[in-house]
Amino acid sequence: MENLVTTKDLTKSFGKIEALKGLNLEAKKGISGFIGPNGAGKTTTINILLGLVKPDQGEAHVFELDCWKQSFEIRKHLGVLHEKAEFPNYFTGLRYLEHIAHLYNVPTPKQTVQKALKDVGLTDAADRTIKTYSAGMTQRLGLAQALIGNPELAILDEPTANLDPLGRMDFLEKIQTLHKDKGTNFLISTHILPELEKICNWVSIINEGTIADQGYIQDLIKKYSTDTYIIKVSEPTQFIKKLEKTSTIENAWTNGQIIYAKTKNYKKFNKEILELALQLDISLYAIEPIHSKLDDLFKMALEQKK
Amino acid sequence: MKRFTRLLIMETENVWRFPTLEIMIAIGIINALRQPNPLLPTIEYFRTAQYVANPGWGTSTFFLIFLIPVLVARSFAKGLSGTETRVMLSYPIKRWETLLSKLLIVLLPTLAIFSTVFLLSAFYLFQLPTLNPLPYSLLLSLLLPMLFLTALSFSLSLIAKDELKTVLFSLFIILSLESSLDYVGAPYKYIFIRGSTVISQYLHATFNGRLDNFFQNYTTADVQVAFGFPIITTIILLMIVFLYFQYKLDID
Repeated sequence: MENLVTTKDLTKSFGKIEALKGLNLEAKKGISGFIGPNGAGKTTTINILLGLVKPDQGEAHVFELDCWKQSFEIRKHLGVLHEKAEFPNYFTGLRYLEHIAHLYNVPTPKQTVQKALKDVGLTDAADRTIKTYSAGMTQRLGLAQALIGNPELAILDEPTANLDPLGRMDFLEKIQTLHKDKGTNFLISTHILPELEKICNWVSIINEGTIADQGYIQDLIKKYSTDTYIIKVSEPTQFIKKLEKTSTIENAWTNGQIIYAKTKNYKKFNKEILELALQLDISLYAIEPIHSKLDDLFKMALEQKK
Repeated sequence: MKRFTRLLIMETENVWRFPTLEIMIAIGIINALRQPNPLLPTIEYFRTAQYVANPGWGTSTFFLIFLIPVLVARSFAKGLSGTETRVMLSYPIKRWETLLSKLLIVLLPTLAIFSTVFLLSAFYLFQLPTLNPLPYSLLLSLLLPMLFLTALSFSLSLIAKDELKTVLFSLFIILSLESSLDYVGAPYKYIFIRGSTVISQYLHATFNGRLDNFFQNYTTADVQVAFGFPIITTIILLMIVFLYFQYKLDID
């Protein structure tokens, strides 16, 4: 079972609003990113995966089980942190996690809860009621409750939304550690992309209710990066004027120091650049492909889809 | 079963907290203040007679009318309006278990508290003997409207998905139902709280073997409506709530 999550031609409408329009999502073992702009359908998809929302058409499977008919079986092995999750305000963090540990039939609930509180840095606030928690603390409590049942897959919807930069870094480290140590798989929905880039092995890009692109992150980066290069020369302004007229260049631009060039023919491109540099007697320092960051990749995937 | 028990404990702790307990104490004090003065036997007799004749409009009943929609709204509608129900249903809990736990958490403690207040007031304030069937028949007669009110509040929670609206709609429907029934001919006006008066007097007359006296004031149709309306509407409303929540409702 390589795919933990699979959806096929999934559609869902709320009144006149079409939230999902034939979504074909895959999430592999490991840490998967689920990215898309606001209103793209991420939360609706997650709700369908949890059996909270019934799809109009199509199929959704988690652990190869049907998300609507077998949602109870799925949820036994799933931990979830919802976006803007609300927890019963009058419980203390400790008491709430104790209840959740019992619901997951955790063998040693007290020790597990203490460890979970320690892991998310809430030991000192364990006996305070949840209503006194800051947004960041509530988010950390959310992470603790998602992981307390030692799930096979944790679905996290905008998990770093309320965390400060240091908290975000800790959070990402925690996810990586959990994946390494316990083998917990993650499906992380977010629009804060640089964070995902550091930890994800698989990315699905959703836009307007359909998948714009998905794949292993390195493959996607290669896919969207192979034809754009950085050229470093001694006289960029002079060089770019001639460069634009060469046959292999589709588009070229410069910031005054570095030239960016998009090529139509990678094989001929290098040769032409070398010949041009010799012809103009300009020193050529470097030609390197641009390795897109996840946010570039995201933009390009969306543009390509359009 | 273990999971469901835990769910019940969790719901109890969540719903039966401040200021519910404080309201109950206040109701106890109000009931105590209504204690008949032993020096005025006529008034005591009068109050006891009123207690028998019109249980539907006693303090305890008002307490019930306000308390049940508030509890249902707090337990069910509030969760639906925010993300609480979504979070709960992301744990390994079945939808019907969530619904049943909320129903039991509203009904059982309310029934226990209400019975205690009711019976204590009957035995200590009105000084009725403990084996007298009167308070028990009164209690039974109020159980049916209580079930109806619970079912109604649950149904409205699903429609309104909002704590305040659920309380207001429930109170509006219950109170307007009572008022509007004045314009409808008997026996249809005996369908709710006034129906509990019919039930209590019918049960009391049955226990005392005085059904002849009872039927001088009421007909068989009055009794059928008084018993049948809350039972049938409760069953129908709860079935709709259950089926809709279990199979249809999108928790988004």
